[in-house]
Amino acid sequence: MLRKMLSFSIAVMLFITVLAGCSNSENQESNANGGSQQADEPYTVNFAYHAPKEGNQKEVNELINELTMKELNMKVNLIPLTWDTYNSKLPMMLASREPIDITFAFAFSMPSFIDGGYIVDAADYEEQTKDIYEIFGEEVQAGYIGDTLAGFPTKNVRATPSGIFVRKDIFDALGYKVSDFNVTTDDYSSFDKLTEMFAKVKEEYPDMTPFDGFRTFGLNVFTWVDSLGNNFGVLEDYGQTTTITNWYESEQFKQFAMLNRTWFEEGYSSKDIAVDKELGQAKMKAGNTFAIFASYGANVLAEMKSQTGYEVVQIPVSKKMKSTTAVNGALNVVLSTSENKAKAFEFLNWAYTSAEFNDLLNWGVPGKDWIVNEEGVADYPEGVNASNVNYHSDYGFIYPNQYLMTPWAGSPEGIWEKYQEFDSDAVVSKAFGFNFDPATVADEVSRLGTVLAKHENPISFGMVDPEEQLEKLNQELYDAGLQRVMDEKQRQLDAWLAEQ
Amino acid sequence: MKKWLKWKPYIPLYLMMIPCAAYLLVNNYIPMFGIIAAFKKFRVTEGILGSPWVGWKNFEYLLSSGDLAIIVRNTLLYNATFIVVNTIIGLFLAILITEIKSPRMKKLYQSSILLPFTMSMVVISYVVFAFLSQQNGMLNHSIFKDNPVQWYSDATWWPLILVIVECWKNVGYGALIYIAGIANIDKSLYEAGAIDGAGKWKQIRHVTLPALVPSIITLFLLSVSRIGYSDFGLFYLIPQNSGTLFNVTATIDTYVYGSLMSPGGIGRSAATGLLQAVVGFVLILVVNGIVRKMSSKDAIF
Repeated sequence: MLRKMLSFSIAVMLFITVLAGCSNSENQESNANGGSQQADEPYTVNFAYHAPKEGNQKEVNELINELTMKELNMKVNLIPLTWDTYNSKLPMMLASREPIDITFAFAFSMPSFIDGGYIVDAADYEEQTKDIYEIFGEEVQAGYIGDTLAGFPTKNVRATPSGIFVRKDIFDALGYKVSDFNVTTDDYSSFDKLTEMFAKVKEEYPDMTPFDGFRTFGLNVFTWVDSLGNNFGVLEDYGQTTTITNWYESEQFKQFAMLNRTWFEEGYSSKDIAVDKELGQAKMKAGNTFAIFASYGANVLAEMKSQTGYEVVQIPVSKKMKSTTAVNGALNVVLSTSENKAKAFEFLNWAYTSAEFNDLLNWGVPGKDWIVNEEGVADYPEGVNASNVNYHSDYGFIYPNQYLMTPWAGSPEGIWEKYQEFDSDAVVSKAFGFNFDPATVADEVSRLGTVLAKHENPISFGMVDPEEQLEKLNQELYDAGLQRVMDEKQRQLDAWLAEQ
Repeated sequence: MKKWLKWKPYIPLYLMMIPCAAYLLVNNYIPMFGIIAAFKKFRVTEGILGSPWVGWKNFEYLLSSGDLAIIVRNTLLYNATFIVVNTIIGLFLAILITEIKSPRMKKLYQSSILLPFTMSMVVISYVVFAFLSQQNGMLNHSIFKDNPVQWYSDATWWPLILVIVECWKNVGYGALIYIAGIANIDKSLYEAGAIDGAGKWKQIRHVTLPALVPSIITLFLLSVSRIGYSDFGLFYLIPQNSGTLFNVTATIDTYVYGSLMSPGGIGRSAATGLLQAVVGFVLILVVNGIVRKMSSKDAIF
């Protein structure tokens, strides 16, 4: 009997504890809610940003908080994202409704984000974002996807040409000069010079991988053509035409694939190049990569040095083009998960105007990760270098306003003016200002994306025989409805052109 | 009154069950309401109830896909293979481990086969990459030195690789249950067998295995109910999402993941999830029915 009583009372106690646990947490929650509603409590902005892979962001976060408390009476919670995990992490965070206020997102994913209801229409918050309108002027229009102002572009260089970047020490030792290379897409045989150089590197430095990194010609679509939001139907020849064509059937894509095939077969590119998702800059930093492919801005040499730790030589391989994609490539967007959207926009507005904020995100803790040297530019403090620095991002272009940042040592004087000049002689796409709204062909675009995911990397990196695989790719693209998407693009473009 | 007396002794048990039942209700049953997302064009701002109905449209994407045959075949065949391989190897390991005399070594082996089960697929994907890397991989620099294999573009080996990786990771879990099962077998049965002249092999065949049948059937039924699902990490991360391997590594889950973030992705994934659940539910009813027919005491319900 006693035992029965005991087990009974234990069961009751267990039950009560569980109930108590539930009600307790409810109380706490309601307290927290009540707290945030109080007027003087500072609002905390959850800011998802591109963070360096290593490094302690806590200190950076604290410094930013000091700044925002002083100037805005807000706090910031930095949520780090890195390139290699961005594409898998952000969608998960969005789908699980994490309370993020602001993130950076790419224009090509914008239609799906808007369709899913993740994006707050920034046009409703013009009041809070006056400074941004002033900074961008006309360019704000590039943030429109359909009728929604999805977000604001980042303030940086607009033209995104591509180049091959090689280690200067080896380049010099092999006796090359930059003038030896005159690589242009007008004459594909000019690319052979690169192949020759890689052959020489492989011979003289057997431990080096001549070409590596998860970027190559065929993947950087926006460098060569105006891709109008997605890769399905493009304006070839740097957007100097108004007829939509299929990029994957173009001579250019084929030539690039064949070039990469040669490099892959000869062992000039890493055998893992299409598999290992790490960027070339990180590969070069690790020490045995000779050349990488990257798109660049006016200050690329200093940036590359700070990202890789090596002096590099730049071999341009494309013209400069200015397209809508180049302006709205990356947008800062306010998400519907934001608890206080007006505050979020107010913060975003401030983010475009605060030099300190942009410096902190990019260079880390002043005095520890970087200092302003005698010449007035940013540099590593005594005893700190690229390999042992705690926090160092140097992806200035992905933060709100690069033109406010302290330039890094080695940058040319008046670098931001040079940037604006860099843009001024770019080829302007005939569709500059046009935004494709894929809503009516959403199913097709999604299907096409699946097809592309299968073939794009292997073909572009030369992991497979291009002749045979290209045919297969295009067959599958047309089966998935490529023609419909191209027709719709052409229709919208023609309508837009008629209005101009 | 009489009824009440009958129930009375069980009241503490029922009370003890309430927290678990509540947990099950909150965690497994209430979310089922989300199933309606499969029939809606989901927008977060309007919520599940507010989003417009679209009928069966979300199912069309998957069912009219040209790759449907491939992804369904891969999902079912891989899962079937995993069930068979894990059962056989799990039993084998469990029997071997119970034969170890030293209790210390027994613990050691037991823990070490369970260790991979606790590892994340992300970690394992790097371990596998260290073996298979085409540039610096261990395999291409040792066994396949003279004849290197393009692991991440050559589809031939992947069915084998995936089965090995899956088995290495998950076999410990089943083995542990079998070990527990073997520990419960009455020792006198073995002694009686030994007296009658049964060797080790005969003892295993006629005492150990029959005694384990209930555990085998339970594990089997549980795996069958999940045959429409695939371990996303295994099929997405281990092959490094390499496009050339699509035909042998794409499963329903990895395929749907690709479209999750394109417009309408949430509805499509919900539709797929519903299909998988329905297939699993029907299968488990059928298989359990068969088991009940054959030996009713081993069926789950």
